[in-house]
Amino acid sequence: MLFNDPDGRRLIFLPVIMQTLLFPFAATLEVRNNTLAVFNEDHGRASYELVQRFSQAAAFTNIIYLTSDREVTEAIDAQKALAVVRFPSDFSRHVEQGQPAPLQLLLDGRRSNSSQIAASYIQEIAGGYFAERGGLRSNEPTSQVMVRHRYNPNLEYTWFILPSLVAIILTIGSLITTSLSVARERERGTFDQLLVSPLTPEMIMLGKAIPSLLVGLGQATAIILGAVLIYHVPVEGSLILLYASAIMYFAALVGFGLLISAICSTQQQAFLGAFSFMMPATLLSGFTAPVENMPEWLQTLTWFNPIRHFIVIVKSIFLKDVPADFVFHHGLPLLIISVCTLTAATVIFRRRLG
Amino acid sequence: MEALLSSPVNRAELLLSKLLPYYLLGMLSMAVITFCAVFLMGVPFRGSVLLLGVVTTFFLLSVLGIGLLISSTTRDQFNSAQMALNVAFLPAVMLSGFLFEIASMPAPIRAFTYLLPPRYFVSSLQTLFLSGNVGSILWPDILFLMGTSALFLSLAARATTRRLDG
Repeated sequence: MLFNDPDGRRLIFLPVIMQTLLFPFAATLEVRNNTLAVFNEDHGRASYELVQRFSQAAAFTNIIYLTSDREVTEAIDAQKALAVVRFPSDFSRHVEQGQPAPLQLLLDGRRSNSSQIAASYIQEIAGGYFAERGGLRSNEPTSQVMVRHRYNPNLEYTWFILPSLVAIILTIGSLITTSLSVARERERGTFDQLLVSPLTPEMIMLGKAIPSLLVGLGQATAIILGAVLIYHVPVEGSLILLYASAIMYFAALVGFGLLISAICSTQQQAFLGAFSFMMPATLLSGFTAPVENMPEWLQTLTWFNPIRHFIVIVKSIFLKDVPADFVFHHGLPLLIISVCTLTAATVIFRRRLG
Repeated sequence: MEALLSSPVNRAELLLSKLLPYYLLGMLSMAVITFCAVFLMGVPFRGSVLLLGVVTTFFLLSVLGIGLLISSTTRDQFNSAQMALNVAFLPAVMLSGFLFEIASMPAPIRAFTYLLPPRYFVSSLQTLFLSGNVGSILWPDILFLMGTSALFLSLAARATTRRLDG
């Protein structure tokens, strides 16, 4: 029934494909093409050399020069620049004398993520500059930290973001198809036919669950193909485990969908129900902010969030070869969620029919 | 719908009657959210409440326009619901500058974000709450939101006439 409608068919696959093509490019945590403002009260050699280095960074394609405190405030307020570096008048003198030479960095707190990233670039550039100058003078070997990122050696954000996106893009399709399914039949009047048929509520629910599951698996295949062929994200783990976890994930989602479906009597209510589930589930999934940083009680609450568990599994299977018991360990909550929601949905469903 | 069509209202009145309740609902939600942000979470609000009202109004008009456009181009509620969730949810999260810096995105995607009302809404809210009345940010945002309202509402109006004629 889901596939009889050409509009419906298009709506199941087109958005998934478009989102897979669009979002990974947008989802970058790097800072590029931004503007850095410089307020130089120093005019010595050291400050000019440093500004030169800042301007060579890909993060700052544009450097503007400020001459007063008022301009500094305005540059940040009006977002003309992401950050302002301010050299005090004795900066170069301190550097020449080998003394600590502080410089001020002003950031835009409205764009806290990117300004912090910009700050770390600036610190790195300034640190490198001071280390070189120090090296010229003393030749003492300084200790250096060598960083290697395992499982994502070049820190490609696409790799980092795509597994989570897989989970979130898949959620929309299967949640909507299930949560609106019963209300849709009620509004079309075909629901009564189902009721007079000799099917038990469990069988009707199963009939609603299976198409959603198949649609979800089809969408999952499309995204996984895109991730591997377009973005060259490695799939280090086993595909069988990936599909097994996807089935567990869809079972949990279908559970929530049918629960919404059982509670709501119109499609409009069901849509709002689905949306009220989607929004918090996405924000509390660890996709936008790490779950570990949330307060204790909220972390406990996220245990009931299927997206959270699925993101962990997909990320691990994509980027490192994890054993089956890891997948099972994180898949178990999905199964429990699925059983609980499906039972609740059936009970409510029966009572409403009763 | 047929009942509505046979009644003596014109197209503008019909659209307005669809818009008004949802607009009021949106404004009410905004008031509740702002109240919670300021008094529950302790987020500062440094701009003017009037400007917040103006920005929210044009944002709501834009998204209501998108909603009407979807509802008049899709055939049933099920498809509209799917379309709405796809159009509204992820683009607003991914492309509005809320999570990811727009300046860092590739040029074609940056160009595309100009069409998205959430982009301007996020920027003005950040400024109104944290920074204050910064004209050089707020006025362009408001102008662009006026533009997106006009664009989507007129597209919705045209789509409705076509449906009625055909």
